[in-house]
Parts: sequence; C-alpha cells; structure tokens
Amino acid sequence: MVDIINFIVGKYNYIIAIILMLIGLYTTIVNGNLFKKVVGLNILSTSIILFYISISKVKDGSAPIYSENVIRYDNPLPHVLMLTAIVVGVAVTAVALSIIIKINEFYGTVEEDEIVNYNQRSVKDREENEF
Amino acid sequence: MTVIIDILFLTFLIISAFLSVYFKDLLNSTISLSAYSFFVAVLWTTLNAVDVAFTEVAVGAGVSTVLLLAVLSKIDRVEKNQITKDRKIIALTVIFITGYLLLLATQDMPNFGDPGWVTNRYLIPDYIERTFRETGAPNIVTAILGSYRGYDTNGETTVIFIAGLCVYMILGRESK
Repeated sequence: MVDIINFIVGKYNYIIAIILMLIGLYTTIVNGNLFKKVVGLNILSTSIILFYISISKVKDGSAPIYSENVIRYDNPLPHVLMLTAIVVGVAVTAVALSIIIKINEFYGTVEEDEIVNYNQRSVKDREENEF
Repeated sequence: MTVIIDILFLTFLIISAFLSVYFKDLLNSTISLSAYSFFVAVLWTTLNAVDVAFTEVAVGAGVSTVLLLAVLSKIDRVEKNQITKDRKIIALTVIFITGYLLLLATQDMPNFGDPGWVTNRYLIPDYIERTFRETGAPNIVTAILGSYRGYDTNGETTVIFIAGLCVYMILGRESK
C-alpha cells in the first residue's frame, strides 16, 4: 500500500500526462467529427510536452536564466525541444483545418460516416448510369 | 505550496481536457481547449519553463483558438452523435493496452525532480557552465535555441514556411 502511495506521489506528473494522452487518443480514434479529431490531436501533443517539461524539473532548481544565489538550474534542453514541438503542432493544426474546410465545401459535412455514405452512393449512381 | 498549486492545476487540466472532448457543441469545445492551453501555460510557469509558457500562451491559447474559431464559422456547430459500438470497443482496447504499457514504463522513470537522473547529467551541466562564456546570453534556453541548435531552429522555420504554403495551396484552389 505504501509502495503504491509513494508511486503516485512521486510520479504524479507522469500519470497525469498519460491520462491526458489517453483522452486525446480516444477522441482521435472514436469521434466521427473531423473537427473534434483536431481537438483531440491538440490535447495529445500538449500531454507529450507536459511529460518532457516534467522530466526537466529538478528539485530546488531555478529557471534556466543566469542569476546569483542559485543552488542549481533546471534542465534547459527539453524546454528548447518543446518550443519547436509547440510551433510545429500549430502548423499541423493549420494544415488539418484547411483540409477540413475543403472537405466541408465538397461534401457539405465534416462527419466521417456521412462522407462514407456519400461516396458509396456516388459509386452506385455511376454504376447505374453505365448500364 | 508549489506542490499544492501543481496538483490543483493538473486537476484543472484534466477537467478542461475532458470537457473539451465531452461537449457536443463545438464552440464550447473550442473555448474549453483554450482554457486548457491557459492552464498548461500557468503550470509551466510553476515548473520554471518560462519560455515554453509564453510560447504556449501566444501560440496555443491564441493562434490555435483563432484558427479553430475561423473554421467553426464555416462548418456545422453541433456535432452529431454517431459513435458506433464496435469502434468504441476497438478504441477502448487500444487505450487500455497503451495505458498499461505506459504505466509499466513509468516505474522505470525517476521520481519527480530527481537531480541525479541520467537526463540531468553529462551534457546539461556542460551547457549551463559554457553558455554564458561562449554566447553571452543570460538566458540559457535562448542561447541553445539560437546558437547550439541553430540548424534545428532553421528547420523549424522551414516547416512553418511549408505549412503556410500548404494552407495557401489547399485553400487557394478553385472548387468545382
């Protein structure tokens, strides 16, 4: 029992990152709405950033900016990598959303099932026209 | 005190993430996602990652929300409930397997804030010791971003440029 409590207290941040990642993954897989999928993707990327930032924190560490009376600094390298990841995440969101706008123009909907129905119907129409 | 703030904001984070997934109205969902980004930024300030925090506020809570709202003005605002049962079963299976494996892997991770762990040794004290002498920048993150990993940042700029080009080419086409 003590082991489990120590595990949860010592690794609280990692467990939260896992829960957030699973929420994002679940939405991305299960939700038929393409807009909701992008929302899930955003949550997924943020959870991974949370994981890296949690690794970089050191006990009694200060922000990685030079100053006096500092015991030790936090690890600056994950911060740098995650700055890149945030910006790339927004680029991915922008491209995904522009594709959603085009899909909405063509099909008139952003629901996956309706798009599949539309395609099946148009294939059937074409076959009937040929014969 | 920091631990209490940390735990409080992590709990807020899960609530707002859950709400942004749960709402059927996509506008509510977008606003919850914006609040989620804001909580994340506050959390990163308490974790001393100040550069990441202000990038997240500007880019995650600002630009992303504006993009999502702009798209929302063109599509249906209310999501239809079409979640089928077999898809739910597949998703839950994937999630349980992934979650179990990740929890197993968490046992090998160090406790939160362990200074002796492998990621905080070797290269990192070297960076901290050398940066001011070699680049003259008091902010270590900026120095690494602009100097030691300059090519990486250049590649990031290229990615943004290509993404902008993609958006222009997708949206600029005439629809038939």
